[in-house]
Amino acid sequence: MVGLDVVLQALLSGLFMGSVYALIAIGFTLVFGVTDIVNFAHGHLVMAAMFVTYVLFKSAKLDPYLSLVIVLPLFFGLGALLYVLVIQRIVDAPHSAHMMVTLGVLLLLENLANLLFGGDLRGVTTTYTTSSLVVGPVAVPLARAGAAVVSLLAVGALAVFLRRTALGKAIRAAANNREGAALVGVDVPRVYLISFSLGTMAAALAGAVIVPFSLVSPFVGHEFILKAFVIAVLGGLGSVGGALAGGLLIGFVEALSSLYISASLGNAIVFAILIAVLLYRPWGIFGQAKV
Amino acid sequence: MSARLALGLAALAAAAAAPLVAGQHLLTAFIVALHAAYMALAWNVAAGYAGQFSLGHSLFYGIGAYASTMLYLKLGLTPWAGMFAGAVLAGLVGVALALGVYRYNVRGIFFALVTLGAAEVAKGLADNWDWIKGPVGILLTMKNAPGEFFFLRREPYYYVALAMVVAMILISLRLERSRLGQYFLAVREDEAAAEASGVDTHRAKTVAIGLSAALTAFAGSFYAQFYLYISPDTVLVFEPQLTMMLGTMVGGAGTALGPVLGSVLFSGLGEALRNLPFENTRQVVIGSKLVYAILLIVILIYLPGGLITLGRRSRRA
Repeated sequence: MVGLDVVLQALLSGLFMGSVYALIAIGFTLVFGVTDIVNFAHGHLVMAAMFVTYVLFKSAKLDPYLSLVIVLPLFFGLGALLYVLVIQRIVDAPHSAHMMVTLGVLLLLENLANLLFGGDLRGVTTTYTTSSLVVGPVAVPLARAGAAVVSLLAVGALAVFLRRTALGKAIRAAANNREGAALVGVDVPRVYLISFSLGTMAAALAGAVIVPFSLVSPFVGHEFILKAFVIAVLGGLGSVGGALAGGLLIGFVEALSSLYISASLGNAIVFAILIAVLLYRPWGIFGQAKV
Repeated sequence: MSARLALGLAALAAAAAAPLVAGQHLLTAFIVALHAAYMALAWNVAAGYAGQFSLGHSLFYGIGAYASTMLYLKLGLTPWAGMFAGAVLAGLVGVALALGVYRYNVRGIFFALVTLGAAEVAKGLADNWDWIKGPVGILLTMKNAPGEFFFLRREPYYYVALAMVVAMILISLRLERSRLGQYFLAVREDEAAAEASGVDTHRAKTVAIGLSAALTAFAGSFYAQFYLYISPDTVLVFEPQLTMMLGTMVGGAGTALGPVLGSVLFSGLGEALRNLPFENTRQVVIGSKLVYAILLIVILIYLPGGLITLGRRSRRA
């Protein structure tokens, strides 16, 4: 039998990873909600940010949290560049073209990383990588707690931005009705560009803050994109609030299934849930059916 | 017609004569290219002709690989027959999946995600299924037994792969001219309009997935006999699916020759590079994949119909 303290520990780690997953998924779902593009390369953008953070740490001894000053603007710009060079040209193409072209971007990032760094797993050791704070029956790993706090703050900031600012409202208007938004004066192409860049930046933020306790290789992106799919669908594709709830849910499911059943079967269960949701509630568990 | 037939026969004659001049390494590259072309054509039946963009065809590929292999190891059934059993099984699974998915009217991107999820579930189950040796996979012993689909040399595999591709091209051409194929196209172009003009769209889509699944399974069986090792990590991952999609979308979806063109270009050249005696083979292979990724993006942006439309355009001009 698994003791209560072990379960609590697992739930805590589920909460931490779930928060990071939520941030990744929100970047993905924001891009889909606004531009209608399913970005298969989203997980590989996380991977790319992990490598940039890794290099900054190894070459300039820059702490992953400090390196955000470089990583965030860099990836906002990279997202904008990617949008202008590639995504913009396929916005009006069918979904199959979206999938294939973003798969091309995925392969581009993966092979570029593989060429530069090789396929081995790499990691960094910061002063707080193995530190933890004992609170009652559980130990709180500081690096993971930090990643979760930053992720949740970012999610909150994004939500406030979308609700309160003029640009945020323009983004939501364009997501809701592209033609209508254009008619009332929203600069839709600019909104698309900014949404894609913001989504990329969200992926980069998540990638940077998990570096202190995660290993990176050119192939880690696949796991992130699969998680983002599942979470975004659970929460209702395009819904930011839904993605937050979905992220936490998947974090808990993952942590508990690794306790009670094998990890590979846990993955199968997660995808079985995905299929059930897509069949019965394609608008997500937490969302409302759009009529 | 006669000119095209002559061209086709000439290409076939050249392909049949290739082993006479190609060494074993080059022949391997040809086999990989033909195998990829076959898979692409099989996926193309559902994704290209009927517009059902499945991301879960690795599931059917894996069923083919495991069915022929398990039937051979447990019952001694020759894989020549086992591959047909695998095709029937994959076809049934495909039909069952399609019935479930279409009953709930899952379409477009949601359809793609459901099929992707189905393949992921299958991989998780296979990893935990001891009877098929879980994640360890199954090793087949190399032997000289043509009656059991084992050959010591590359040439017989090459001719089997070539025969599969030729058969698949003929099936595609036949489909294009058939009533069923017209239903597929109608569903792809405008499902509501097809339904309104009396096409049973659910049935057409279900047949498309079932047929495509069964045809894909043959490729899985071929993989098992050619590489002599299968595992969830080789046949039930995204890799086979990616091979099918790249070849089809680069060459031209919904055509009988586009997927062949795309596969030969993408899979065949990659394999050929792998076997050339470069100083840094690893870098060359990764570098070539990088070039392919850029090519994929550029082709899909500027030639959304695939490379095959280049020929059409110049003919019209």
